[in-house]
Formats: sequence, structure tokens, C-alpha cells
Amino acid sequence: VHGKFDDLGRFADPSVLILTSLSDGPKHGYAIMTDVAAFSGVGMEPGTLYGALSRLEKRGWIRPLDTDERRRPYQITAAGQSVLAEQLKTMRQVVRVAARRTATA
Amino acid sequence: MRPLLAARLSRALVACYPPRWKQRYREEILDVLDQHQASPRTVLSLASGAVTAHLDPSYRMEKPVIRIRSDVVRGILMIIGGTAAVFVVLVGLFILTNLRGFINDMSWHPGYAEGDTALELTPDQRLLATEAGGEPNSAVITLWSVGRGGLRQLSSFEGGVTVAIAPDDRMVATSAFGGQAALWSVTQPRHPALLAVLTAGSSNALWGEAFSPDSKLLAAAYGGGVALWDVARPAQPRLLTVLDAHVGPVTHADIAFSPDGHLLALASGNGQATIWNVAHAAPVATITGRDGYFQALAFSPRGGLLAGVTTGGTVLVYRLDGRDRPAVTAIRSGLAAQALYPGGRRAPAGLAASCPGCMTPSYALGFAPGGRALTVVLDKIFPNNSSRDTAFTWQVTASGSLTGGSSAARDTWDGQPALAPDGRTIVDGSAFGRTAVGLWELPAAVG
Repeated sequence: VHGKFDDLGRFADPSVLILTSLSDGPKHGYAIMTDVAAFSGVGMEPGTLYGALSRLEKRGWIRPLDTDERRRPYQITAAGQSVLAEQLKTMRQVVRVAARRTATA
Repeated sequence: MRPLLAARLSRALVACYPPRWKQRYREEILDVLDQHQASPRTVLSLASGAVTAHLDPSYRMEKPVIRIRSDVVRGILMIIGGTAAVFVVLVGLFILTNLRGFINDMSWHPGYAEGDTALELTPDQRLLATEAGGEPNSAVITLWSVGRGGLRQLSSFEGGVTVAIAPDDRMVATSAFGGQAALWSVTQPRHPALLAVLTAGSSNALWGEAFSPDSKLLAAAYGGGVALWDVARPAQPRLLTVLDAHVGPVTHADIAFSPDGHLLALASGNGQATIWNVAHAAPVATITGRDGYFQALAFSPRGGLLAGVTTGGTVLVYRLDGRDRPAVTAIRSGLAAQALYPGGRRAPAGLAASCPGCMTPSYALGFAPGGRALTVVLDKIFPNNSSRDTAFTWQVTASGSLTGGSSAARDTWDGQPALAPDGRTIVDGSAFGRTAVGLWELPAAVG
């Protein structure tokens, strides 16, 4: 279940945003979109969101919660949390290097 | 692309996802779409999502129609299928947006000649008459059908410099500077036929005409007043009377009949508009504008109010309560200045608020069919001959005051706007150099 984030290719970006959004609790599709827009300024479209959600779900990084309603909340799994942590570590490393290199440039 | 169209396309695209995907996500994504403001990006994201989902083996049908064992062949087929699907979606989007554009958006059609353009739509908005031409007596009148396919040219003929179309779709009146008006039968709009030439007994120029709501009377404005003909038998029109009391010099024309046909209003160049009782051929009231003269007039559907817009960009509403000088119930001024910045857009670089070099705007106005909204359309022409239509809409209270206020703007070609009887569709014709005609529709919230 636990895979490499790089496998996601161009879906990496929406996936990080979605996993980050779910880190503080389960949310349904539209709540994820508004949350992502609020914290990152990225206006995710429904097609992109559900493309990413279905992939994250298949990899076991998120799981849908049982509900009778149309809007189904998603929860980040332990595997999802560890993948996100790994990804953030890489991003922090990139930020560190970028900061150093742009400062000396 | 309009939001409504994008929303419909988005929902249609959800139906294009693979069955297994829909079983799992359909309700959820429709719920998101219910709350999300759809845009062309939404449509593209769903189109690409649907193609990707179809390429995903986990959403493939459990029992494929043809079982392909070779991975290479399957891969090639998937690439070909995916490319074809993207192509079909893009072509579909292109066709849908353009078809819709013909109906609700502007669709410009080359006209005939340069010059002023006059336009009028019938109440059912299925027939449009336009005039275009620089030569006094040889301007070209064109008839168009308005439908789902957009504007379709039916016929054109040399007529006069103004044009009016009868509400019953059967006649068109034109006039020339020689003081003559002509009546044409358009019962066969592809083959208009001259019925009669009308002379008001004046060598004055005729400035414009209007048919009464029952199409039985034709009013034509000339330099000193209004000539009224009985055209109930179009082949034998009869001059009934000439209304010329209390009229200033008529240098342009806007004639408006009240919806019941009992009253007629004519704007004149001294800034006043005179209202007559048609049956008695007697003036009943005079209204005075401010900021120039009235460029357009309209009665409310129940006839209790008369609205006018002046060349200076002021809208006035009067309550017709039987008095000689009807009371003003609402004033909104400075429309021309506001129209420079529709939607809060910044002024084009180097263009001051006063818009030096801009031409005097052209105006049209009308009430919504229920009488609860009033819309004024203003076509502002900038020094480079680019032009922008701005439509201002207010709610009209029972007492005739205006409340609320919203505006919508649209870049157009330079020209003369007209507001269709539905109070929402705007027809605009180009006047200089690129004679053309087009339609655009106000959003529901505005109209």
C-alpha cells in the first residue's frame, strides 16, 4: 500500500495539498477545495480533486468514511501521514537549498 | 463561456466517466459541482479526468467485449482511444461554446454599408430589421431572422435612413430625408414588397417612425411634430392627423407608444418630450429632461410610468397621473461617466474620466415585461472607435422610484444599441467602417 510519492507524477502537487488539508481532520470534497484555496491559494477544480482523491484512496493514503449523505468525508491514514511527512522533508530540503543558493546568487 | 453553460457541460462530462468510477464518485462530485462556480477550467479538468479514468485499468469493465492479451496492443489501443477521446471532447466543447455564442453572446454579421445604423426587433424577437447606409436616400434595410442558429439574413432592400418594424411582423416602415416614408410588406420576409409611399405634406426630413402596439397606426416624426397614419389596411394608408402642438424642433426621433396604444410620446430637441392622447390628437402632458434632450423614451407595461434617458446620461422616471407636468419619481445621473469603468475596470491608459475624444453615447432603454425592472443601455464610443455597451438595471417600485442597481458591460463595436422587448437582449449595430450587427443577453440577475 505504501508507495513512493514520485509515482504520482503530475498528481504530486494536488496530492500534497489534499493530504495537508486532511491532516487536521476529515473533510468532504468541497471542504477540501475551499481549505486548499484558503491555505495555498490554489483553486483546485473538481476533476483534478477527484482524480487525485481516487488515486490517494487506491494507494491507501486516505480512506472514505461511512456516511449516508451525498458528501463523503475522507480521512488521512497512517500511511498517508508518513508519505506526507516524507514529502515535506524533501520539500524542506529543497527550500533550504533554494534559500541558500538564491541568497548567494 | 457563461457560468450556466459551464455548469451544464460539467454535469454532462460527469456522465462520461467510466461506470465503475461513477458508481463510486458520481454523487460526491455532483455535490461538489452544486456548490462550485463552474468555469472553462472546471470543464477541462473534468474532461481530462474522464479520459484518465477511462485509461485506468481499475475502472475498466469487468467483462470486456474484446479480450486483448498483448500488453503492447492494449497500450497502443489505449493511446489511440485516449487521443480520440480528448479530440472529441475538445471538438464538442468548441461546437457547444460557439453554438451557444450565437444565441446568447454577441454574434457579429457583416452588414452592407457604412453609416448610422437603426435596429428594431419584433415583440416575439424572431425578426430583426436593421438599417445601414451613408447615402440619404439609398440606405440599405436588412431583415434578419433570430433563432437558435443566430442571426440569419433574410433579405435586404434599398429603403430609407430609419426603420421600424410592426409588432405583428407584417410591415416595415422606412423614411428618407425627402420627407417621405415608405411602407413595406414583410409577410414574406425573404421578398419584401413596397406597399405605399407616405407623405406628411411636409418637405421636412422624417426622423423616425413607430408602429402602435396593435400595428394599426404608424407615427412618423418630422421636423415639426408627428404625422399619424392609419395603416390597418397597409396598401391604403390614410393620414389621420399631424400632432404638432407644444413641440420644439425635432432633430432626432424617439417615439414611444404606451402599451395600450392610447398615448404617444415624442422627444424633441429642446429637451422636452410631449405626450399625446392618440384618439383625441391632443397633448396631455409635457416632461422636461436635464442634461440635454431625451434620446430614448419608454412607457412602463401598465402605462403608469414614462422613463427617458437624456444625451447627458440622466435617466428620469415620471408618473403619469393626469397632470400637465408629471412628477419625477426617480433620477439617476452620470451614467456616461460610470460606463467608462464597467465592472470596476480601470480606465484605459491615458483616458481621463471625462473621456476626451469620446463620442456622445447612444442610448436605449426599456422596462422588463413585468414592469418591475428598468434597463438602460449605453454605447460609449472611445476615440479609437472601440466601443463598450454598458447596461444599467434598477428595480422599479410601484410608486415609480428606482432601487438597487446593477450593471453589466460588454465590449462591442461602435454602434447604436437597441433593447429587445424581453428587456434583456441587447442588439447592437456598428456604425463606422465595420457595419455589423450582433446580439448579447444580460445575465438573469441583471435583467
